Amino acid sequence: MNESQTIAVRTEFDVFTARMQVRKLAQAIGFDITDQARIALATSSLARALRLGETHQGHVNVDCLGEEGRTGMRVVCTAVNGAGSDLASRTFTDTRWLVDNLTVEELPPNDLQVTVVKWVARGESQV
Amino acid sequence: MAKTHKTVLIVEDSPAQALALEHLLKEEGLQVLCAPDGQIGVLLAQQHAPDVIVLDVEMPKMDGFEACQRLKENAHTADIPIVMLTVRDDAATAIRGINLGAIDFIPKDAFSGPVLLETLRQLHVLPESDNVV
Repeated sequence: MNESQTIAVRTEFDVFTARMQVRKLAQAIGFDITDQARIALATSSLARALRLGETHQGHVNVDCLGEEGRTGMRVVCTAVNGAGSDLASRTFTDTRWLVDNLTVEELPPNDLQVTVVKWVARGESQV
Repeated sequence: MAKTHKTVLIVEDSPAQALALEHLLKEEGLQVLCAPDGQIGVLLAQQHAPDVIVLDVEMPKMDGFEACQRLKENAHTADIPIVMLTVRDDAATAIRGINLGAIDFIPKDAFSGPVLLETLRQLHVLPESDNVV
């Protein structure tokens, strides 16, 4: 499976759409329902923390990962146009507990990008 | 809409939110039970063995966490899937809920309804739909 989707986030509804797209993809690649909930919640929590659809605009990119016999997904939330200096001090501590990896990156000119990765647990069905 | 004969227990202290969820689920042909707090919710779950429990976190008498714990400790209710209602996207609440045995959490926002319906489809409480958002 090699799916990549980008959802522009300008409103609250776009956050909802991103959450549901993440969930659909998580289901498709074999996450169990609780892990689907975790990655979906991580996505909307990040979008809210970045104030996407509220103070800031941005986008959410979702894609599948596959390496060394394991499957996972990556969600990249990007807030643009001044979000970097506004939000860079955030640690996203709670969201880190929902995923396997979380990285924060400031991008020029002044954007902030948060990437989360979650792998399908061994024993769950890998597609 | 055809009756599915599945039952959902809504445990929610806000009458407005409970009514909105009840209406939504009945529209989908589900039977709905409502409890205004965790204590009554646990009793109704033991009496009726619903197919799914939708559990608010902040409630009087017994909050959602304690109710979830009691439901999971009771052999009659331990296997019933619990979906928790969280304020917006509160990851800390969700993590605590998962650790107690909840399988999903629905942010309380304008889109709670469609998210809940999608979860119920995944749990096969509602039939699959092609019109997933």
